[in-house]
Amino acid sequence: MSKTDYPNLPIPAQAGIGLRAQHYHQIATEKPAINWLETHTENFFGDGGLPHQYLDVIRSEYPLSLHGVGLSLGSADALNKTHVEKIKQTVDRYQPDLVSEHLCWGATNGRHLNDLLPLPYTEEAIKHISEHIDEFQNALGRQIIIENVSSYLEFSHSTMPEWEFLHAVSQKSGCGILLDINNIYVSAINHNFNANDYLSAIPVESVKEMHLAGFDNVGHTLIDTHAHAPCDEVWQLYQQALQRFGATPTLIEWDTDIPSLDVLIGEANKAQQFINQSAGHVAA
Amino acid sequence: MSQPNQLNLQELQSQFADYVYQQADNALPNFIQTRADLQGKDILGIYRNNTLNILKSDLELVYPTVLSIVGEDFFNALVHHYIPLNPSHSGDLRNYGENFADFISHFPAAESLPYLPDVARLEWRWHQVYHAADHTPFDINKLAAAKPEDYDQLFFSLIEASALIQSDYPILDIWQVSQPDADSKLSVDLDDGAQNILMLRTDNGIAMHLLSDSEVTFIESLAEGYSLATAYEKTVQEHEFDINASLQKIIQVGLLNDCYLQTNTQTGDNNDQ
Repeated sequence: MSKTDYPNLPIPAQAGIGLRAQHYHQIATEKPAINWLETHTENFFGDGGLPHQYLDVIRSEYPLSLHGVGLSLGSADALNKTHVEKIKQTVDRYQPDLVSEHLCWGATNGRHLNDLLPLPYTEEAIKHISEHIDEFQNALGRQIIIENVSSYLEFSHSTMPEWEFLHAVSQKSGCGILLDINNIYVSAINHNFNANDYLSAIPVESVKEMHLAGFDNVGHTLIDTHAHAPCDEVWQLYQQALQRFGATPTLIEWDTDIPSLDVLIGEANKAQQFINQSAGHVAA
Repeated sequence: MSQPNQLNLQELQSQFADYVYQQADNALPNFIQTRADLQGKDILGIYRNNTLNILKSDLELVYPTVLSIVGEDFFNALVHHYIPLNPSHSGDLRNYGENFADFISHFPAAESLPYLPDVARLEWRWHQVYHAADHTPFDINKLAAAKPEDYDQLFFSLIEASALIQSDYPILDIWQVSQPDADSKLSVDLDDGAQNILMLRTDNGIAMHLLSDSEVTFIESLAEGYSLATAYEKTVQEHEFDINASLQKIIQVGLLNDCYLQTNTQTGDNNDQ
């Protein structure tokens, strides 16, 4: 793997879309107008082949964010050094403007559940995940941002709400925050809290990115499937978030039943209109 | 930490994984707040389904031909037995499903499809070849420059994006008729016997070529680090072999990565792979 010097392309405070394998070819060859792209870091853990050929072209043209899904920062075990090293290689190679992970766990003693699992919101968990974020940031030599996940359960021994936990982890580890508006909405409905309480507890300066996505409603629970466009309630909550946090890089995520690129770009344009309105609002 | 109303993070996560993979009876549901009509176990069941579905989707992506041969219901039965016995060991899903072929070979209901494990082996190698390291085209001049008397000191490296697959069944034919775009007039005679496949990644995608048994021995010998002369000797001990035709074929399909002269005879039978 030779190191390429890519152009310095900062992620703008605009709407981007998730880069998925179905669209590699179209984006790399047609180079449509998209403000920025985010891809799962693990999708580029292979040694070579087509995914790297495409990302090489795409990184030369678009601002890029790498979003990890498998590191399991919230595990009680030691941080997985092999996984950290793979992320570091990928980050060194593609020089993304943002690197993000999740406020969750996904593995224990070498068994992986390959899901974004909720933590108990305790001092013990704050200590574990903050130490791991610190270790990870030191390994990469840069700040990372941490995303809140959707949850379907609450642990009865939690001693604080999720927003307080996220704030504490961010303070302790020095990481930024990736606020997933859909995940806040999903968890607020599942656990019957006020989503605005969440937003207002997060310091404005710590939020570096937002996510928007769609969920499935299975009756008793909203499940974060990323299989649809964001719903009206999530768009409303997003506008409230923009009022508080100002224009922020925002990603449309769609991972299941992935639609055509046009549909994704259409959703990003919708988010962009809200960003423009919020910018106009602040300027006025 | 062991008060009845406490569960440390390590225990919580371990019990969570036990529930997801084994539906183990443990204390964890007592630490989950009930909501609506859902008890702790019901809520854990949502997460259990998620992981099972994620791993199943991954197996469907890696093993599309196995899926198309056995159909959805049989595939679901396979993976629902496979997953609890074979937890994921990586945060990189690309690594999941390596021993699926071995599992199928011991799955009683798959006995009537004796070639199915080989199809799975082929697909796992395909998955590996797809992500293997890149290579630059072989420099034929380096080979042309070698003199026949150097052949016992001439070694080859093969491209990483390649694999040999040997089967007692006509595995390439089976694979081809099972592809979604296969000609519906194609059919396979299982009595056609064994086939060997050389799979490699080229600029145009992944290609598969049939190999004779002699070519398999020859390529394996080169891959194991034997010199050209020794690889030839080993091959002709077992088979009739036309080295010129085979070498030309190997070069044409793009299997060679590099060749080099190594005068240190100690490495002549280097076999440390």
